[in-house]
Amino acid sequence: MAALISGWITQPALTQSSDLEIPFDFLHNQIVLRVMLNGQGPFSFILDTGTRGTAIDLHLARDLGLPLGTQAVSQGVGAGRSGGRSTTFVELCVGSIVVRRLDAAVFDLSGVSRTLGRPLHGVLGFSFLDSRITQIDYFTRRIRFFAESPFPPNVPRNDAKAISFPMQFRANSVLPVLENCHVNGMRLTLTIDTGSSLGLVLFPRSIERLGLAELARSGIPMDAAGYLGEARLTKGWVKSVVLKTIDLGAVEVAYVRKGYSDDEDPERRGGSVGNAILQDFVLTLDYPARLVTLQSTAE
Amino acid sequence: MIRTALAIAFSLPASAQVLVNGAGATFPYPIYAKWFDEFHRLHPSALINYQSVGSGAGIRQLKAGVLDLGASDMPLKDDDPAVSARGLLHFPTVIGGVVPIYNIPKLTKDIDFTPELLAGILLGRITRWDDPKLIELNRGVKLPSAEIVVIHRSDGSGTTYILSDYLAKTSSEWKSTIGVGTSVSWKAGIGAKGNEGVAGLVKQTPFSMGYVELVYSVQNRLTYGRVQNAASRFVKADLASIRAAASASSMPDDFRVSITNAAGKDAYPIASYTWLLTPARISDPIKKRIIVDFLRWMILHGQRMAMEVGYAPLPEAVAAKVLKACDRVQ
Repeated sequence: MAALISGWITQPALTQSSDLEIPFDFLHNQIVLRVMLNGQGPFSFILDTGTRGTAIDLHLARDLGLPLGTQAVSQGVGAGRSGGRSTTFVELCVGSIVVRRLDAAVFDLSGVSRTLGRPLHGVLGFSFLDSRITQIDYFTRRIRFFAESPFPPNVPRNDAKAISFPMQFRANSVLPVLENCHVNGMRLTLTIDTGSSLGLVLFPRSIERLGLAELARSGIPMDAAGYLGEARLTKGWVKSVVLKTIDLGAVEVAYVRKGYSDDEDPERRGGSVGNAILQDFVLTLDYPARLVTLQSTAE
Repeated sequence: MIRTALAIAFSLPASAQVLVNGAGATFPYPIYAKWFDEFHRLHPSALINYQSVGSGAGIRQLKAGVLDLGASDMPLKDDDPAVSARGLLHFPTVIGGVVPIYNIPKLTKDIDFTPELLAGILLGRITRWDDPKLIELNRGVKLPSAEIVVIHRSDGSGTTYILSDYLAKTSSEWKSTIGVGTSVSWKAGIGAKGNEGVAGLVKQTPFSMGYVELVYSVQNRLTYGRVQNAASRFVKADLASIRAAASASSMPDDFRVSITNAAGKDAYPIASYTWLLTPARISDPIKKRIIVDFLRWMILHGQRMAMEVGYAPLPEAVAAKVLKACDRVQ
């Protein structure tokens, strides 16, 4: 369910932000937050590092009487490009965080809702995260927002249980890039995608480079639901994945075919790491300082 | 059951959906996924959200108060604070078997394993398929001249617990060097996450060997061997031999029992109950109702489905006892 929805880059006006901890539901490996819109709700929103703007379901937008603006092209997982509409919320609340005059994209999210087993009303992405220090604790299913970094400065965190790395982006993507990863001993660049319910996703050129083309072809077929429809993948296992200094051992992999997403330029990333792997970590995304920290919670 | 279902429906607003969070064992996941889906279909206002993260992680999350429902193939011990302080209740759900799976191309006959051979392979002492001890035990089986690639669990695993429980009962070497637990210090091999990970990796790795719950072997069309039981017979895991292991053991009132290396000539020796764990006191009355209704439904209706998936249902006497024990949830 990895996604990228482009077009609405407006930075929201922040009116309140303080240290805050809120629970989330972890449904089908998706982080589902309760969000209030224009004083109504709560509604279920996914937190997705791969989505540029904020998105809302078409049916909810109509129910709330939101104005539907111009058509815009979106990107994401699914059968290709699709037309969305733009809209504006008066107010969006996540816990005590209030965002006013927020521009958003409007999509039909019913396909993703079916996969989740409950209505999905929207997606919070980069435009929501960009000004914040957000900590996703998958183990306790809590999200924490910090005014200042929760970590002491200048403390290296690169060992078998924790890593930190500069938050970098490539080209037009908003997915944080993690360099120095190794898959079956070969160095790859991966991205951190909290909108993906999968574990390791490998893109076509990486599959070729790793010599996994035959395994990818003969892998177990699976479907992925994206904002733009469904995509076909195959599933298999790779023997070794190392994220910098954290050795994950053998990991389930989703082999992507061409056309999975229009954000699959192999020059930008070899693959992505989604919630099926991230759920064994506390992920801290310090956007202001452009720093990412992963701390293992595995035994 | 119909009256119970109506009670749930009436106790909630029409549009509301109550989420009961569960997580833990991958061993029973194939049947739990079906049960929770079916229960949700029957009761749309109740959604049991289950993450198959392994027994170890499930127990830790339950102890941390993150979950409403845990799942484990390892019963917690008396001295575990979660049992004494939170009064965690164990409800057995089905019985399964841990089977030694292997991927040996063109091999058509089953391989027999003694506990000593299994321990030797997993300890990294027996490293080749054509080891003299394997050949001697498996006369007539054309074992290849190849190294054994051991695939074990990388996560805290009830399946590992069941296997290590069996080996600790039958191999003094295993007991003294590895012991019993959901996570053990492996001497050899590659770690994979979950039963699905071990099955998947064995399937794509020639000359590998691992251990999974029987259903994963069947679903992935993986060959598995016969294991020597307490009566010195080599038994293949199936519903009958797994039920025979359960029949040979009596069930205590708190349902915490090991049935590995069970007596009985037909008993499969690496069999185990798997359990759902709930706090004895659930403060949210709606969640409590959903959990208790699910447990009752699981006994009255779910047991039939278990057999279709490939798990042995609970013996009738145990099922009756579980039904009665649902009243213990306060």
